[in-house]
Amino acid sequence: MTDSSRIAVEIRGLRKTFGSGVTRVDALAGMDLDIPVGQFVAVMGPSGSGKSTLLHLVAGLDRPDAGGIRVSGQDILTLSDDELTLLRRRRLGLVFQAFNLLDALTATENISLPLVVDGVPERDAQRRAERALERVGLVQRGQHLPKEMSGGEQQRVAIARALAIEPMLLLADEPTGNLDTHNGDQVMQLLRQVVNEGQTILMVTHNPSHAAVADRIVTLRDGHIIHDRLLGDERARVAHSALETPRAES
Amino acid sequence: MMLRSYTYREFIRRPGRTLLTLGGIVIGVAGVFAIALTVHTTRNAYRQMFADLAGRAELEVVADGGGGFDPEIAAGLAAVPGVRSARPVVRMVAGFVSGSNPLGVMVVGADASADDVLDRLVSGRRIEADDEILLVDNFARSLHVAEQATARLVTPSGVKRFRVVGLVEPTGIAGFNGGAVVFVSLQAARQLFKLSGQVTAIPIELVPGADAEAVRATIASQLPAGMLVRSPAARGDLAQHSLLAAEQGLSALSAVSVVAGAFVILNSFLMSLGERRRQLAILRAIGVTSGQITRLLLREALVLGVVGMIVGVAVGLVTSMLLVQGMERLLGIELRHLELAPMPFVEAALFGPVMALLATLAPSIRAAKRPPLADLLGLQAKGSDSMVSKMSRLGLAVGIGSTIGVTAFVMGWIPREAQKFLATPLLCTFLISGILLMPTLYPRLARVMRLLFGRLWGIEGRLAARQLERNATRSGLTAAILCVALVISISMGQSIRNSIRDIEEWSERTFTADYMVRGCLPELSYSIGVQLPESMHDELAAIKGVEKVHELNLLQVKAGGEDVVVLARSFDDRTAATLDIAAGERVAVIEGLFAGDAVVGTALAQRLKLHIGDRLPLRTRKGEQHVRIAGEVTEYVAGGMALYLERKTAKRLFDFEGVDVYMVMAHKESTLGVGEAVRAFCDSRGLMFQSNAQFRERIRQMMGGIIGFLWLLMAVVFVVASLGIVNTLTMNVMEQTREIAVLRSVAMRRSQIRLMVLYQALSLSLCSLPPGVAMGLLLAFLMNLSTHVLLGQPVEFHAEAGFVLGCCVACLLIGWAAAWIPARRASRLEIVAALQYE
Repeated sequence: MTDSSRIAVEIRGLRKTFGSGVTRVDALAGMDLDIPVGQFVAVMGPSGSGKSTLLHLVAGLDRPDAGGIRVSGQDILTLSDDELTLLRRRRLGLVFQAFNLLDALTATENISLPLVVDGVPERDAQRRAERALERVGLVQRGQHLPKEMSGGEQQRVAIARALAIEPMLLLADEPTGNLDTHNGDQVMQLLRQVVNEGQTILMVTHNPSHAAVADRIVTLRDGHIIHDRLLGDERARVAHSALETPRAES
Repeated sequence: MMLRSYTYREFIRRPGRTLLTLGGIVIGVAGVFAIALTVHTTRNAYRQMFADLAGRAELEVVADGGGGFDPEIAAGLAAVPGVRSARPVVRMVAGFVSGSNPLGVMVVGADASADDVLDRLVSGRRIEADDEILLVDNFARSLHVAEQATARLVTPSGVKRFRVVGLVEPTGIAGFNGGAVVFVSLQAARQLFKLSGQVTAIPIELVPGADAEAVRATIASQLPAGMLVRSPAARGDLAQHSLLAAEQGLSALSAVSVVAGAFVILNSFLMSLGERRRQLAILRAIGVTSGQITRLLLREALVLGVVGMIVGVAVGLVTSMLLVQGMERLLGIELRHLELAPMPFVEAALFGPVMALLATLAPSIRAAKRPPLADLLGLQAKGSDSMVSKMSRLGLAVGIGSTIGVTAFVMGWIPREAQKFLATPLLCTFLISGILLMPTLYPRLARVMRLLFGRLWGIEGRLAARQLERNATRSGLTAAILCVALVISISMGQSIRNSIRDIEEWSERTFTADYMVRGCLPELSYSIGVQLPESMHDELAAIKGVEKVHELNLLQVKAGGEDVVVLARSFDDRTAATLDIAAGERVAVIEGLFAGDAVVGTALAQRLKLHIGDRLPLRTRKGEQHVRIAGEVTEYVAGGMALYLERKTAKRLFDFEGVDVYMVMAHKESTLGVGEAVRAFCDSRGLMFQSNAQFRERIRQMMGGIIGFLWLLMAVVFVVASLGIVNTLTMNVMEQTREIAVLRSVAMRRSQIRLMVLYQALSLSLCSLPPGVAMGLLLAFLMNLSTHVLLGQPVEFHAEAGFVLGCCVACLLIGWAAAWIPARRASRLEIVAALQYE
């Protein structure tokens, strides 16, 4: 039995169905999955295989029909809507394919918003936002609005927003899906870098070369895991060492 | 701070939506504020006008039914503890000959008041002879009458000439009715009005700090029968009856502006939320709780509410200036300046933010509770069915409530004092129930319309119908506002048109005289007219071709504790037959009238709960006298608070002199020549001549103001409805952006896209017609019944097919016109960009 304090996400018998009758689709058909702390997991699979559904369920954006999800040991299915919101605000970082930045706010404001909403004094939130921007290499773009930035920059701001809260788990849904190759590669380098610094990431992608940046690739089909493998020795070592030395959670 | 700047930037990012929401608040606040201010100004002007007339006096002693009395009692009054002075005066109405028609002026004759007035002399000197007068400065200037000029007054002693020896400033008593006051010596006034040794009022000034009520009680106990003591401002109370109908109309307009304003806010706020779904979902996804989202949205509404309140008050001020001018024309008095009382401001200050918050509360809570995932992924959200069912349940409950309320109102189960406060809320709830029920009805109506017109509209129509059905709630709400526009237009329009027809028929039946001769146009402010000499009867009767001359006097008296107008008229069999009898056998009514009975207005009968055969108590110079009621008539003078007495009966009871109106009947074969002769008679004496046709034309002119009000009302509701259509179709176009791009790329021309959007508007308008017409006619019928309850006037109900059809056509045309901007926008979309639209 794995030590639960070293497991970031623990999924058991997860089921999710959409539609009914002839339109019924089993997006997840009883999935089990553990993600250790500090591991970078890429989820792959054809359209409709259930990968985005998995991400949404772990983020608490949707509810499963059956099964259980524990995030950092906490059963998230027992949480109320507001408690799930607080979980996302404080412990989960979300990165979307469409960036999902608030158009009316500058990059710095977008990043500091979850902190301010959580009661962090605005000056502190701004400092943390600036540090997050520095981390993603966009410190000079802090006062720009999303529409004034390229797609790659917007996605890096979205990653900075996710990182600014120092999440125990970063969830990324096709983070390079809307980017060209160059920008996509930059984003993947960034994600790799934060994993190397101890961050746990669960990422959904279609792109095999981007998936190869992860420590582990989980392949889904029709709601089942059909393949689950650890990549290269070195990255596997990093992951295993993380398993042996759990990082303090924020 | 950050969420505040987010709110601010959202306003800036969507200026159109922000302005629309603001517009809704401004419409509501301006409507409520302007009408509250106008009603307050009008009511206050009446009271102030009569308070002005009394000068510094806090009480006045007059004879019941007006007229002269012996001033000897003044000495006794002056000795009452708390009384500083009690100086007898003559105050009567005369005609000031100027231009084509004489103007009504208040003639004030008092030795002492001349001293008061002397303090306010702008130029000239005090009165020293009986043929000298003082005029009010602004009044004289408006008529181009200078000092030392000669002026003519029409009085019961005939037309008399005077020399203007001075001008006074228009304050205090000289400010009465915009300065339409003439000061003469007491002796001259007595001669003019044939009051040998008598006066018409004793204004009573109190010592500072005296208890007015105690003094009043003491004076009342000392007065002989036929005299009464009252507050000078109370004379304005009678006018309140006449104002009631106008005030009810304004209240209805206020209610409509509130409902319409709230709907615009709701509609634009829903559109704004629709546009911002993804943004709100992002906030939820990154950790903003639903409570925080609700507070954010409500704060936005509050900010708009406060800004809308400020702008609304400014717009309301301008609107009330226009309304006050309209009321001045309708009532024939000068209302002076706006009375900026605190209450309308307080109401507006509360109303703007509260209306904004109430209209946005439910959508805000709902938006905050939406699961963020669907909006993040751009999926159609579930749950509109449950909202529709909630709305229809609420609509049904409100509808049942308002129906019960209206039934109670119509059946007279609601206490009289509560009636005038309940009429407007009942109208509001009736409209709101219609709006709430419409989304449930809409899909069924849409199916019927598709069956009826689907083939005619082609592919563009089918696509339009599909888009509308996809957002049935939004489409239903938009059809609802069109429906409300129709309901208001049809119900108010039909009700007003029925009332106008009734008034015209009443005037046609009642005013059968060929010509009328009077001192000046009757003014509501005086309630009594300029009295002409009684000897004039014979002069008029002597004119060749004149068959008969009848006299009419209007007396302000107390009947059963109410202020009423007595129409003292000389009747014969022919003129008595013209009474618009509402209750009683015609023959018995006429016989009763000749036997000294009264025929009362329906409003008065209802107010005093009197029936035929009952005895009506009248306060007269000889104490309280009772007259039997012979019948009820439809009467519009003083809002129906009037009664007819045969003139001889009235003279016996009230002992008055002079004639307010001479009604001249000509022999049928010589009407035209008689008219010329009577006109020449009037011109030579500076009197006012009015033919029957001119009189009817004046009634029509007065009705013109009400017709104008109807157009204004219809304009407001249709403008609001068009805003709703613009909002909905803009939103539809936005949602259809990608679909439109696909249609453009594979098949459709710009014109077809434009047509598709225009068909959406047409379909919405068509769906609003059946419930709009049905509810409109039902409401018109209910309003007709409630008019009887509220004003005491039974009005025959007519449903005019032409008018209803006109409202329907207006609804279709406005729907089509409002769709033009979104249709143009849809047809001009850039295909490539639109294909990538999310």
